[in-house]
Formats: sequence, structure tokens, C-alpha cells
Amino acid sequence: MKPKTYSLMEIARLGALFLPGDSLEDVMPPDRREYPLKVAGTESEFALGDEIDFVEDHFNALKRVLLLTERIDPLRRPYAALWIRRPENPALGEVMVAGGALPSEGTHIMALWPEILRAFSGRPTRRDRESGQTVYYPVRNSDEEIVGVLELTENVPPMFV
Amino acid sequence: MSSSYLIHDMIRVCPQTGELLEEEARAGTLAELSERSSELASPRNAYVSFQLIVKLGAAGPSAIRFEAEAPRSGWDEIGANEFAFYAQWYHRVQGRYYPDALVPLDGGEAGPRTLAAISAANEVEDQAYAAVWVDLFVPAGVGAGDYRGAVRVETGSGTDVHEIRLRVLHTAVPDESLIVADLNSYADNLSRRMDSLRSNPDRYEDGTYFRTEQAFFRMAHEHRCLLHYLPYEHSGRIPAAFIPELEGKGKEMRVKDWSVFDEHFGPYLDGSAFADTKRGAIPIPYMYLPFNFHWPADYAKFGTKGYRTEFAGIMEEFHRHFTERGWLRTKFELFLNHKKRYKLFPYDGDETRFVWDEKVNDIYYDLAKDVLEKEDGARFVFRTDASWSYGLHFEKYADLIKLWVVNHQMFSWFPESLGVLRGAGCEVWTYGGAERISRPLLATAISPLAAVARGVDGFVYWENTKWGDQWHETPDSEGSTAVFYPGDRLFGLQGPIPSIRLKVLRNTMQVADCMEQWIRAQPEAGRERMGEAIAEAFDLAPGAWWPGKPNFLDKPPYEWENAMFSEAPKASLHEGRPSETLNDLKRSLWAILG
Repeated sequence: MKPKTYSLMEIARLGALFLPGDSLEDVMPPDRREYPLKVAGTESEFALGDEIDFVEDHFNALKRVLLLTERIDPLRRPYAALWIRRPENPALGEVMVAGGALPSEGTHIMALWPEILRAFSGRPTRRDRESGQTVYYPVRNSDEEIVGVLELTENVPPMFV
Repeated sequence: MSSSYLIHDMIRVCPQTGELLEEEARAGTLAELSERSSELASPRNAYVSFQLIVKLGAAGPSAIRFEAEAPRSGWDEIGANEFAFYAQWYHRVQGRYYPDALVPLDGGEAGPRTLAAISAANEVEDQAYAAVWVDLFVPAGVGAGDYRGAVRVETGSGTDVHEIRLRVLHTAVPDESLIVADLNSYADNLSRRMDSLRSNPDRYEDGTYFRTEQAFFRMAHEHRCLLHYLPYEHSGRIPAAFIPELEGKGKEMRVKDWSVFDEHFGPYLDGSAFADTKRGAIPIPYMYLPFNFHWPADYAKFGTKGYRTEFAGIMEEFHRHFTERGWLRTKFELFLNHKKRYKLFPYDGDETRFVWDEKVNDIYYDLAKDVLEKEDGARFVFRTDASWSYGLHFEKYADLIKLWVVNHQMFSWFPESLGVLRGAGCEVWTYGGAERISRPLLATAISPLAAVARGVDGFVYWENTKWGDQWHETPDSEGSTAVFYPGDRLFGLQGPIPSIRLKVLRNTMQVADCMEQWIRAQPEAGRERMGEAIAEAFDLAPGAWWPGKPNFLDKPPYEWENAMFSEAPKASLHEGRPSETLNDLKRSLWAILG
């Protein structure tokens, strides 16, 4: 059977259907959700990352869906990631769970940009990039609140680490 | 009046003023230093290094020539071809010029690697002195005794003759290092950091990459170090040239083709990559395996029987293949480098801080145990890199994990751990980083000597190829993440050029290997005697390498705060010691060893 091809947005829609938003909300233990506050004022480049901890079952459930979402269309090779807004400062965000590779923006906490903010407001958004394309798709919890954004990116080199 | 100086290898010189850059040096001036540097001593099968500092005349470096005369004893000779000359390259660090990169001089009067061409490319402001690093290899086959030779330096205004008085010892440095000096890096940073590889999309297929990588491995080997190149990214992704091609999934997963893997790694594992080095065709003693959280097993299956099937099945194939190929002198490491800071996996396989992450030790040991517990064939070991949780883990995991690579500061808090790990048949290395260029050269000597004093098996510099795009001006992190530099962009060399710090590391490794060889010949009190020699030369209190425990060890590591570390005990072995201290140690050591 000839494989059917899907748009990146359609893949994101399918992936988001299976993503447990409640797990994304609780992917860090409660005492770690505001982890940057634990090392405020430290100059060590490694200190912030040392404070990160996850609830493994929630993380693994999300990671599995991301890896499988990347495989929905065998003719495409996108990579997937989940972004959240920082609870202590919603203007900032970060990748919280990555699939097969890291977004090119990296793993640090950073100011969110218009396309991803649009998705955080509930509207799936396509971002054409120099060499490829990214789509951002809202991820909801069981109360239908938006708790994150699914990124799918193709033909943009991921962050190397 | 002489316009050139022969000086020893532990003090660098400012190219603008001729001042000594090592602030703790006993010698005050270049002339004074030169007077103290004329006597050299070396074991056989070893390099002995010195420097030539030339005051530039009106003609600049273009008039400078070097010629070596073979050192002779009454009955033997060390060939003039055993001399190697390197131009010292100056970097701008903390507002000063420091030499670090060493560019091999090509010996001709024209070309890209004459002293004149290198100096012109270096563009040191107001340069008044040029410097050359000289390695002289003393072959294993020459007789012990006193040798006389010379180096002639033509400066344009005349010729200086520097007599070399070399005492060759009976002692010989062993070809195989008895301590592992491990230079770590991450694949495939060479392709990202070498211009010539970055611009070649066919580098893995056309042989370019393998040749270039081998040049790095050979340079490490020649300097008594091991290049240790982790083949996977934090995501688990691996460049195709670093793994065999697989086919199938689940029970059908198997190796389809070993050919590229064998071409890549075979020369390191049978030693043939090192056939033309002074140490000879010795296989690398350790190598990372590519196994990780997401290879060969699919992490989407993590926790299922299918994950085990894929992981264990391919590991069994690796063991069978390595055994059939006769790769029996290398220890192959299962090492899980993943860190949750990168949000790709929920566990820290590396440097576990949160104690509940220790479960990955149990999970992956269980997945690999059929191979790890084999008594025949290729040797596979489970490795951990420990810091935060070392004090909680060394007893708990001594039976599962056989290679412990431990943060050097945290290791020093637990002297009692060494006996526990030794008792379980484990090997122990410490880890830290290369010294910054602005630090005294003596600092680079500490890791090998501390390994001898403490009785550990090796030490690791965690990153060694991150020189930075502007390395020729100021290397990244002042050089603390690189002991090599790329030779391609500026000098047309398809491989690395060494650094002064790498040379000092090699020269100290020779000392450490001689000490370790002597200790093994007298196991009763040998280590204590060598520890005393180090303590005496460095004016240290007995046991200074075990500085005591911090007061926060009663808290779990995830409650430790960054600020606590600044107050925590730290072994300080070289601070304030004169740069000549290593030479003092060598003198007393050669008197013991002969």
C-alpha cells in the first residue's frame, strides 16, 4: 500500500489528540515547577539545569507520543517538542519535553515569540522558516485548558548537544 | 652577546617584553632562567622538552634558523631526527599574550610553516621575542649515560650555539600507560569544529573524516593520552559512521552491516592506527559503546519487553563481533550520558543528583548483564560518571558498575571509597577540565601526580576539542575546553596541532608512568614512597590530596545549594608553588629510580 502523506499541521493535530495534557501540567514534581527561583543569583552556568526534575511516568507518556507523532508520515522526518509557559513569568517559555531532537531555539527559558504565543492563545500556527517549516499546535488538559504547545519542525537543524 | 636563550619547559615567556609569564617562578629573568636550564635528564623511551627564546633583530623572524646536532655519549647517539621543533603561537588572554598552540615547523626556508610565516600570521603587537618548543625523543634502545649535543640558532646577527647536556637514565617509560589520561569529547564535534570537515558533506564516505579523526587519536596517543569520543548526542542520535547498520525491529532487529563501523574503529582496536607512533601499535584501552537510552532500542518502547529484546539482542551481537575480530585489549563502556536538563529524557544517567534516578543503573545493568557478566571474549563494562551521589553510591553499586569516573573534588571527600571499589574490582578515574591558559603550567602537572598519590587509575578532562572559532586569538574558556587546535585553516594540516599544555601533560604523564611502574615493582610501600616524594617537592602536608569532608553530607544531594561548594574542602596542591617544582620532583625521582 502506498503510504499516505500528511501536512505538518495535520500530523500535529493527530499528535495533539493523543497527548495527555494533564501529564504535561504535572511533568515536574510540585516543588520543582518554579525551579529557576531555587538558583536566583547564581552565576554557575550549570546550576539552573541541576535543579530540573521530572515525574518519570508523566514524562515518559508524553515522550512516547512525541516519538510516535514524528512517525505518523513515513515520508516526512519532523521532530517534535512540547513547550510550556513559565508559571512565574508567562511571557517566558521553555521546551519541557522533546521527542527525537531538540528545537533549534535550545532548552533555555526564553521570551516567547509571536507565532508560538498565537498557538498558546488557541490557534494552530504555521511558521515558514528559511529552510523549513514549523507548526505550533495547542495542547489541552482534561479541563480543556491550554497547558502547552506542540511543536513539529521539519528541515531546520535541531540544536546539537 | 647572545640573542637567544635555551630554557626549560615549565615557564612561558612574554613575546613583547621577554618577561616570565609564570608569576611563581624562582628565576626572575630570561637570562637567569637560561643559566638554570642547561642540564636535562630523561628516562629512555621518553620525550624531553625545552624552549628556545630568540630576541628578534631588525630582520625579524625571517632570519632565524635552527639546526640540531645529534647528542652523543662515548658509545651511543640519539639521532638528530629525534628533535621536533614547534613555533609557539600567542593568544590574547586576560590582556596579555600567552603562547599555547604549537605549530610544527616544516624546516624549509619557505612555505606556510616557517617561523617567519607563522609569526606574520600571528600578528603579535610589538613582538620582540619569538619562541620555539623543542621535543627531543630519547629512544628506548639507547644506552644510559651522559650525552652532549647542541642546537645552533642563526639569528641574522650571528649564530648562537646552545650546548645540550642530557643525562639518559636506565629507567624507561613503558609504552603502555599505567594511568589513563583521558581526553573526552563528543561526536561529532570534530566535523562541526574543523573547517575542512564542516565544508565536506561527503566526509564520512570519502575517507576524509576517518583520516582526520585518526590524526587526533594519534596525537593523543603520542602524548600518552586517550581521546575518548562519545558517539551519541543527548537525544541518542548517532552519526551513521559511528554505528553498524541495523535492520528490523523487535525480535527481528539485527546488525545488517559492520563494514563502516569496522573501517572506522578497527584501526584503534587492533592498534594499527598507531603503528607509526613512538609508543607503537597499542590498541586503545577504553572505548565508549554507542548504546544509550534511544539506541539501539526504541525509547518509545521503554519499559516493555520489546525494549529489552532490542537492547540486549544488539549488545550480544556487539560482543560476538568484537570477540571474533580479536578486539580483546580494549574495555568497551556502557555509559549513559543523558541529562534531564536537556528535556529529552526524565532521568540523569550522568551525574545523578536526584537519588530516585539511580534506578537507571539497575534497569540498564539488567538489560546488559548477559554481556557484562561474560568471562570470555571482549570485555564490556558498565561505567558511571558520578558527582552529587557518589557518597551514596560507591558501596551500593560497586558490584554492578566497574568503571567509576568521579568529580575530582567530590572524590577527594571520600578516601574510604577507594578501598571499597578496589575490593569489588572496580577502576576509578577522577574528572575535571584542562587548565586555563592563564594558569601556571604547574597546574597541568597535578592530575597525573594526584592520580599516583591517591592510587586511582586515571583522570579525565571533560572536553578537549572546543577551541572556539576564534581560538587563534583567544580560545573558548581560555583554553580549558581544548588541548588541541585545528591545523587546517591556518596551516594546511588535516588534523590537530598540539598545545603547550598538552606537552606538559605528556611530560608529567611520563613521570607518573615511571612512578607507577616503580610502585608495581614494590607493592608494599611503593605508593607511600612516591606520595612522600610528591609531598616533599610540593611542600605538602601528608595526605593533602584528601582535604576532608564538607559539613553538608548529611543532606540529600538534591538539597545541596551551589553556594555550599565555595566553602567545601578542596585539595590545593600547586597554589603558590614555584613553577620549577615539577623539575624538583623529577630530580628526586630520578635519584630514586636511576
